[in-house]
Amino acid sequence: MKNRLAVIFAAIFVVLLLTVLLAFNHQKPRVLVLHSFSEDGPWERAIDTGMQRALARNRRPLSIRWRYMALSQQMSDKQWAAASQNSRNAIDAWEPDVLIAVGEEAQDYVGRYYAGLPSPQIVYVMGESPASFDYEQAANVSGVREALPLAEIVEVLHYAGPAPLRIRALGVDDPTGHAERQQVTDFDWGPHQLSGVELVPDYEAWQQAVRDAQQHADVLLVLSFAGLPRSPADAADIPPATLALWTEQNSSALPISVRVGFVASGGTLAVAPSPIGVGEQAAQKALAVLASLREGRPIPAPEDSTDFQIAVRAERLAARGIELPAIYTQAARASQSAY
Amino acid sequence: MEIIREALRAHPLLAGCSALEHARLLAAAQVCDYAAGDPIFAAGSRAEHYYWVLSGTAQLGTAEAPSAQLEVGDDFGAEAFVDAAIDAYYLNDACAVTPLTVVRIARPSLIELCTHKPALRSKALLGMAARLGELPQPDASASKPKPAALPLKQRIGWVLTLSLPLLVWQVAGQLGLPQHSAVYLGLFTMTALMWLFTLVDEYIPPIIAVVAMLFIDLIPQQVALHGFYSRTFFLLLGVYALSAVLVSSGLAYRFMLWTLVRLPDAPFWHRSALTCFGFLLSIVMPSANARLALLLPLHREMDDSLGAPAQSREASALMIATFTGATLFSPLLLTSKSSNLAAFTMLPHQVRVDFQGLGWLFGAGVVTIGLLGCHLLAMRFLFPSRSSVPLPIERITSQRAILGPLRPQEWVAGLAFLIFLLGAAVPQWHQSQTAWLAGFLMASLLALGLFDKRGFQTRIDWPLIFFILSLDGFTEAIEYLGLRDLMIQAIGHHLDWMDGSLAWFILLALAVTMLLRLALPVTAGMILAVTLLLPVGMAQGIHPWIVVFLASLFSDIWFMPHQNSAFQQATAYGLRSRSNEMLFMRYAWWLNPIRVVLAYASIPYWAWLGLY
Repeated sequence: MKNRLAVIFAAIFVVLLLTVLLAFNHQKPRVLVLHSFSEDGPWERAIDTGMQRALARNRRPLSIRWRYMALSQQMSDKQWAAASQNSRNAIDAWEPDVLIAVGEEAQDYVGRYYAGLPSPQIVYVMGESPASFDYEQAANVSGVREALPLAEIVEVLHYAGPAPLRIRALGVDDPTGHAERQQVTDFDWGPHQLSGVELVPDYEAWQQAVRDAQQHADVLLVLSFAGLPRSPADAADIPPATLALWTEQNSSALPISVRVGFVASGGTLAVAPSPIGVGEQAAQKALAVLASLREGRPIPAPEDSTDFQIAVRAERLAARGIELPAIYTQAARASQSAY
Repeated sequence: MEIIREALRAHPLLAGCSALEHARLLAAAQVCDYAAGDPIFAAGSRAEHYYWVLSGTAQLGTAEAPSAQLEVGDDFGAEAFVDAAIDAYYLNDACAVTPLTVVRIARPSLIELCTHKPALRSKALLGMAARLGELPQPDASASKPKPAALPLKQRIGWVLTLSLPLLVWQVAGQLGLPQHSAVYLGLFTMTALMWLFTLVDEYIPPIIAVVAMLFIDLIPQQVALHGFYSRTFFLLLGVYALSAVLVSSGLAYRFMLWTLVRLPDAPFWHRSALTCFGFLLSIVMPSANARLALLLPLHREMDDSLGAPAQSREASALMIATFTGATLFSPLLLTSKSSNLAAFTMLPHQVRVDFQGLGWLFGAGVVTIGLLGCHLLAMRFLFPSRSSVPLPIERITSQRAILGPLRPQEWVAGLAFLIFLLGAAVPQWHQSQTAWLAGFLMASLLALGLFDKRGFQTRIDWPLIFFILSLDGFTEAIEYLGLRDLMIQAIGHHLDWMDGSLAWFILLALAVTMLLRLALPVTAGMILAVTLLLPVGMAQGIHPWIVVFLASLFSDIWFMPHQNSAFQQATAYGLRSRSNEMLFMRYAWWLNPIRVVLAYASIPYWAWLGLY
């Protein structure tokens, strides 16, 4: 047995150390990352990679938790409501300083409930306009709007044929699709022409829309297509490869997507927002919000995403007789999206 | 000798020991004769020996209360079996009633034996308890030691540890340091104070610091636990497994006996043999204390046999040879010092590849030859032998006879050692890393049953491994938190005058390491020295391995007993009773400037190797 006084000192030391560590942890800023979908989605994984990249540069201790609402088209309304309530319960219990809400669904089902409240500060990551969730007037909201790289797509169209080209956009009738439609219609496509944006409820409608586009378009702008049900009777998601390959083979108009997954699944070309870049930007925004809170300044203003990514399938591109400058193919190779 | 051998075989307590254990006990056993009425020991005196009666009658108990009569075959003095951490005292008087012949075994050998066979201790003490039940109880209150008060140094240490880290954290924050740097400095202060005032065992403070850093998310687990998935982890495990099997199989002991028989029977060669054993053990034992623990029994056997007078130059030289054998090679081999392995992980990848295995020894060539040469010359000329007592070859032969022919486990242990040695020296043949070879050898020894679950639990120095690997995370955090850059910025251009001069850098390394070692133990002192010196050295264009080697070499410099745990170990073993402490210390002190001179003498050699 050690000396009694030594034991007392050691006990005081242990209690004091634990107290200091606990106190430190309690005053440490908390950040909750809330994803709309599950953690195994390629988009979510890439967003997380980008966030971790930015957070790895941070040296100031933080508590960070990730939460995935795992929403899907197969879930009933009741299940969506339950997922929403569970996430809000988790936020109320943990009381994060910053909530990074990723995806329109996370804003709709969780984020908007906290807009205008003193805490938590919300950093959104989505394509839709913040006004859709009453974020514009809220002092506690900032974020990164996932801007479709439409200007960059116009640059690429320079190599697809002589202007003006007729462009038709096709997407899914869901919150993401609505957000993307808004960006597409708000954009000035000159010297080309936008001949319309169609959002479809299922794969059957998608196929019909592709066939119809042949008469109205030279370019088919493929918006997000994840979670598209097979048919009105079958709510199961259509596999991306099936959709991409069918679209590629049945569209005489050049399909250009705003999602890299389209090319990965068999498509020809994509100019897409970089999810890694978006994630990195969102985490940087969250760190900036925390710095503002520390210094008693207003939180920084929202911004659009800046990074984009090129994905090409050279073989199909050549089959369509399109030759892109080497810088595009090399950029795709550098981002491991040359197929 | 034959009498003792037979007595050991017949003794009910010791008959079950292995041939190796019998061979060791033979060296520690002695036949003693007493005339009728002679006292053997007195109640309250230190229990140095365990006895049993070969002929005659002895009596236990005081003169006022005579009691048990001990006849042929009876044992007494089992108090000597008591655990090493406790001071053992005889509980009764013992004296010869008739002319008496006994065999007695020295306590250190019993303690060593009980580390492998703890049941022996219980049996011996149970036997003693049974006999004591027949005896009047001694006055327990008289012999019960009073609990020692907490030393003032530790009281001050605790008060400072409870207050200073918080103060440092606050002040660093107020001085404008980033929050993470301020927190780290607080934890660093806590760790340094706990080491400085020896508040807990050496390995505990870095574990506390690493756990605290993880607890508050100061650093990610990849940084904090970096050492645990580095190759050092497996290198340590493999080396410990190998050293455990070399010892437990009896091969190490057999080799020592074989060498003693083969070498010329002269004092210089006796001493050289001890130094040589130390070198061989240094290859697979990353702890000077472990090596010394293995060499000290051999020293005792030789010392007893040679019979040099206590405090004489001969006796002192033998202890110096033992001590130096265990400690001299620490900086010269990667695997001979735990802090070498810890610092190794801080080196750039290519440097680690170049200096693993025998690359380290090659780089340290001048220092190795210099230190060894100086030591051997000193043993030959500074400690001449006035009387030449031969080694008891008969006893050694008898010990070897007990061991019998090489057993399969010794063959395997020897083969494993050779493979490790060859793998470290010539990695081309296995096309892998020395650490993975060490890991493979450990796995093989486990599979062959030579290194069993119990050995895995007890023979691997887990506290030391956790210490080294936690220290790795603790120092990695410096880099991760950007404190190294801060340090470089703070130094600024103050060291520009060095202009990449190795001569000046050696002086700087000497000053930094010695200053740290004044307060810190070897491992922590060296690691902190490397942490401070490595960025400075690299900024000056000094090869990183040279920086680590210099810190390792200079961290072995010591002046005061508290700076060297091996010296404390030797003292506890009885250094002062057998050898002249002044001679011993003078020798140790003289090695200090020699280390510095040899570092300077290495400059042309390092230039020739292209390291400078």
